[in-house]
Amino acid sequence: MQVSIRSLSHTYPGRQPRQALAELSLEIPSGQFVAIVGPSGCGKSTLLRLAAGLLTPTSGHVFLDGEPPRQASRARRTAWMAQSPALLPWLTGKANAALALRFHRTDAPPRLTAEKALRMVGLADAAGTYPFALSGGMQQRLALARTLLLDADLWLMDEPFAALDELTREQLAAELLELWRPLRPSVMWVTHNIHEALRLADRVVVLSPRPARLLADLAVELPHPRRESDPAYQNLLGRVRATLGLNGEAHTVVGEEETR
Amino acid sequence: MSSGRRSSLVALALVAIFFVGWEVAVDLLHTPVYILPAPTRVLQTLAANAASYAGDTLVTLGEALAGLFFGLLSGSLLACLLILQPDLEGGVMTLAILVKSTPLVAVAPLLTLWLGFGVAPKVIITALLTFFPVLVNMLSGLNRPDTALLDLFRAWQASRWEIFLHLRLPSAAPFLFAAVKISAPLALIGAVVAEWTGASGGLGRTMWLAYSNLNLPYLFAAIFLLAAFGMILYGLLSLLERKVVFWGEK
Repeated sequence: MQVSIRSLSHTYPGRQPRQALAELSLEIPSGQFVAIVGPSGCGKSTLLRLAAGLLTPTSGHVFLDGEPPRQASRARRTAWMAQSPALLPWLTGKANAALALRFHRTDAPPRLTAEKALRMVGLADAAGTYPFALSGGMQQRLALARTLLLDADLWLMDEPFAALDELTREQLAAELLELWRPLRPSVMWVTHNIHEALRLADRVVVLSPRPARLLADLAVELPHPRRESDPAYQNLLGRVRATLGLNGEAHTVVGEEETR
Repeated sequence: MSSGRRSSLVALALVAIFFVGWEVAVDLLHTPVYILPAPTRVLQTLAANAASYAGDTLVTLGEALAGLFFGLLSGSLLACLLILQPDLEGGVMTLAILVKSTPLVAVAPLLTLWLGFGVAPKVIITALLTFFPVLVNMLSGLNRPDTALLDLFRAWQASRWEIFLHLRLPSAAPFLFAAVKISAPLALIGAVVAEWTGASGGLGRTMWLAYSNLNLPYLFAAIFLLAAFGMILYGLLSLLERKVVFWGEK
């Protein structure tokens, strides 16, 4: 799915209006994996919520294959995933994965079944298990299965693995890349972890502190799996950090949260 | 031994100590039976009049359960309405608090005056008594789903009705059970108090008659029955709760 973001601005109303996005423009070709990096609270999530149709922009437009976001979402062409697994505790793994399909049915028969989606994320045995019996990592896998099952053309991922421990996070990110490759939806992946962005994405977009403006737009043309020792990787890392004004070796994560 | 079993054993032991102490105290102090009858005396009275107590219990329990049902129904439906039509909340809640603040003990005799000694006024009082906790709990239950879940449903373009049905309503189940568990003993009290204002049957009427005649074993037998059925009701509801809300509440 092709994403066109044109002079997009958003201001949260209130006694003290907060401008989250200012005149942001971005074109994402079909099938591209874009990581969106920026300081905490810079408006990355706002951008994703606008693309998901959860918010209406103050000005500017988002077009998904020429359609407004809500229309694309209604046609089950976008999938949204956030930090919290957001599972329903009274539904089994399988029912949770299949939940989204209950709404806005499309005529096209689904390419995936709930069982197959669970198998893809390594949860084949958890079809009959309730979320409370699953670990945090497994819960997020289940949320991923639910995202896969939508068979969407655009994945909107708002730091989906940020709440997990580092080991699980890296493992899931690697698996996600394997799942993404054959399906090839466009991905907008919000993160404040520069390494995560450089490991996963075809392209890294760096946003400024609020209100978010485009600071840098870098192509990451490195083969997978990517190694930190690779000079080209280090070069990109240096450029992203320089853009964000980060100095010192330890800073690879933007904002208050830093790598331990 | 599990901590649950241990604590119920402790509770049982405390109850046993209480009754044995009561029995011994009455025996040693030669307390007159019209002041405080011994528990064994109360149980004898209960056994001797089993049939009439069974009838009274059925009447009171029926009133309490019917009132509980209507209180549950009206409280839940109103909470659902307020969630689907949020503009109404301010006005309706003011009215509900007004109902809640009205002393029902004062209203009960009026209802009896208007509607007679039958079952209707008791059911109304009980329903009024249970309505408010159900309304308040259901409202917070229906408002319970966190923003992550609401976002997800909205990202799926689920309608307000679908969000209500698939998300809000099941989220409210633990809250509904909490309300019903609070309300069930309240419902028994409501039925009894309403019976005091005039009734043709029921444990409340029996208590009132026994009190007028200073027939304390008779009075205590009714109190025992009420306490027992209050606990049984609570226990059954807890059991049902564990079946329905099997996922537990964080």
